[in-house]
Amino acid sequence: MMVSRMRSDMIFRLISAGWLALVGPMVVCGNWSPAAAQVAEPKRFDLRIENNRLSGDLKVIRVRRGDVVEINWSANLRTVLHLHGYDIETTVEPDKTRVMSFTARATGRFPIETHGRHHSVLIYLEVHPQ
Amino acid sequence: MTIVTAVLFWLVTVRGAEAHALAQRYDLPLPLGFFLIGAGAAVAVSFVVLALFWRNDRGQFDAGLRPRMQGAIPHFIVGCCKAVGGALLLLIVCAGLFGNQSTFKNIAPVAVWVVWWIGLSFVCAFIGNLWVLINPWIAVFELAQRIATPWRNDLSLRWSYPTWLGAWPACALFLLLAWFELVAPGRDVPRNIAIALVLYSALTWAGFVCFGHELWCRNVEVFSVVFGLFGRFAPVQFEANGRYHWSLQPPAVGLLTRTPLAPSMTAFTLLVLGTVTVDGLMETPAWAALVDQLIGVQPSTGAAASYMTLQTALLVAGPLLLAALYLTAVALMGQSPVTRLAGQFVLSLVPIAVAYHLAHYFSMLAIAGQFIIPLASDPFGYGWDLFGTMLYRIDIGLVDARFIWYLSVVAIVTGHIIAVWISHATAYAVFDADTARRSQYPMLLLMVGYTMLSLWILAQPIVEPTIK
Repeated sequence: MMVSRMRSDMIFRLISAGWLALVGPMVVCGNWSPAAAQVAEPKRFDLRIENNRLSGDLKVIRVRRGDVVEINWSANLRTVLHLHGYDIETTVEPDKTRVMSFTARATGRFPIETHGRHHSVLIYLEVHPQ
Repeated sequence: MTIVTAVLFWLVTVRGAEAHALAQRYDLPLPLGFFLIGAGAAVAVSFVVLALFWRNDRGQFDAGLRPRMQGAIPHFIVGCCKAVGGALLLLIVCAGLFGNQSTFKNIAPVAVWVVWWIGLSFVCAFIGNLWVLINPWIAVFELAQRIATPWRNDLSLRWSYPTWLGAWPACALFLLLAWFELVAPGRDVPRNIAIALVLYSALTWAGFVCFGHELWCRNVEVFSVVFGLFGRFAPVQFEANGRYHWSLQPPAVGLLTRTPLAPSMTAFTLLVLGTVTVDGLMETPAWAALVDQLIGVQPSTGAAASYMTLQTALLVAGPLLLAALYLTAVALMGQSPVTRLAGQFVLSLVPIAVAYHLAHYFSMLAIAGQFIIPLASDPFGYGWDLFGTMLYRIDIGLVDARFIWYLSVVAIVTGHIIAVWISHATAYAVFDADTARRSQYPMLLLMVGYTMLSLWILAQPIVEPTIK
């Protein structure tokens, strides 16, 4: 009985140690990312809002961390837009293009909502790690 | 308008009661690779444990339960903790009642929902049940007792608490709390939070007076019960019998119990575990699609109410389904009585929930928790700057998505390993070796399923149903 207890104890320690050896470096590497973002062409998106709804099939805007993002908005009605997280608000007047431009410095999935009378998610911005 | 910035101007956005930003999380879904590795590791580990572990480990079971170090906590520290707890409750209630009513200009919503509810549950699970020391209701009651001593030796009437009632009142209160957190409109409005706290304080002190605070905190005071549950997982244990003591033990061994939990505490545990999962389910596209199916996409006047009804239904159905599956797994062990065994094994599921809770809420705590820095300087939203931090800007880039993914998978697989271990150790302590091994097949199946569900939720993109 003593032997079996020691054996199971050893197995448990072995598994724990193996687990730590595997996971430790992964966590360290995972959190490390190059500090300097290279300057590149902005990622451009043209989006049209019809009656507070997005026209077209795009459901998610996907970019990488560090990208410069430019979203050109147009609408048939006056629409107040809010990109959550980055917290950028823009009002789009009928048939005038409005540019939302920013550097995607933080990763995450951020809703862009219409505010005001209609309060709903138009599209999500996903900023993925590099 | 061009803003080239990644920081959040916290002053600009919030529009009163409309704001639902507190509930807003910005996590990216777990990529497929992470999901598969996590799922595979969980299954593999289950079989390794099943094949190799714990032939007979009664000795180890008892050794694990013995504390490694212990001592008394100095009166001075206890006093400080109680003073801080009492003062914070007073501050939050006053700010909620009299302060600015915008969610992020008042300390109440962030202090209650982020720092207290999420932050303190992490502290309780990973360090120790600090709530024992800072519970403001106990602090105020003990102060009142001290003041009243010349006239009355005991403020409490010491009525006898009905045994059959057990922790069922705590279950009811937890369900109410979860409803307030996940469903209730206006949960981010400072005044609503303050009013709820005032009502709850009145109830709690009335209970203390009738039954004494020890009994009340064990069976009714929902925060004591829930933080106590998470606290079993922690390495530091705090205890209050006369004087306050601390003791140190390996993490998670507090979940090993010789005596099975009472049916009401078993129900409470399943309720907490089920709610943790329901919280995540409510943000999945599958849920949004179901809501769309049932209510329709077009916003209409009754839509908000029927959406709340659906959420409430899920909040009740989730824990019930978990309880049904768990009881089935326990019944399949082929031993009786099932109630006793249900109380014996239920705590082994806690590590899975704790791990999921960490994966689900870590980034929200790290990001929304930063609001407490400016709010500490201006708790009422009057424009004060007590500590010079009023203009602190929230950094939404504080934790990288990749870090969260690794953290999630590591936490979930580790939680699964611990859960399987607890269940095995318990089985070998209460059954003979043969029965013990056989009893673990249904539990393993349940645990693998529960872990997979957690991983699956984390791999879903967060969406809000269209009805708001």
